[in-house]
Amino acid sequence: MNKKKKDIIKKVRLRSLSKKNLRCEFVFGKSLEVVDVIDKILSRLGDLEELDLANGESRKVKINEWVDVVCNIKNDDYSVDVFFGKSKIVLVINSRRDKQREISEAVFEFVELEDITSKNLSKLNWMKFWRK
Amino acid sequence: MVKLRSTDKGKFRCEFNFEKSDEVIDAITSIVGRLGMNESPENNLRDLIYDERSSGLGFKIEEAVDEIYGMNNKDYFVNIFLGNEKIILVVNSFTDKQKEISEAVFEFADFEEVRK
Repeated sequence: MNKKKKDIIKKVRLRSLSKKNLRCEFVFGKSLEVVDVIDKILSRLGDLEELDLANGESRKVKINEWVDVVCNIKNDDYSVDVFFGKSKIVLVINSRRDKQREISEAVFEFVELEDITSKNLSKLNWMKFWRK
Repeated sequence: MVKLRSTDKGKFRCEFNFEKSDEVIDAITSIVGRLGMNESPENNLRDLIYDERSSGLGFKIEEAVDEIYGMNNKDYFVNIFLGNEKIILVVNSFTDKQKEISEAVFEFADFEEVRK
């Protein structure tokens, strides 16, 4: 049952990431979907509140207005900054101790890396076909 | 001295908003140094930004949009966000370091004059 539920989670694409002992950084394209996913990640990391974006209809308007804005959410273990840029959202999770494993588990439940390999692979297959 | 647009300060987190300019990058590099993060070359903000780009030749800071640079030591977690029109410096700490942070920042920055 859980597996089925897990299978239907639509993951958002991660553009890039950078991980160190006490700091993890995740870069996304800018969309409401990403904000929802960040909310889910934060709730997985403990009692971190939801991002302070308005609910409902106005959210769509708001996310476009949020340029050069940063939000911070914090608990005993983590200090999280979410930067809203022109076309990107950057999630930065700082921790007191090494929490890379917990952070990765929380993030990759809802997020996947942009699959560059499969794009290249399909291009390669297409080229093979063309040669025939 | 560079001009500060706005600040948001709490016990464990200080945020400083600046206009986007090369001078601000220099000022933040100095501020970060004052917070004890100048030992390692990977913590030199100016080098991190400019060295990546063909030795900085012809590069303008306005071209760097939605970029983030982070560094930390035992006391501070620093994020510098290069936005569309602003540069945002965020200094997080797990103990109250407001005084030390303010001292470091206001050595290199001051508030914009509010004109009537």
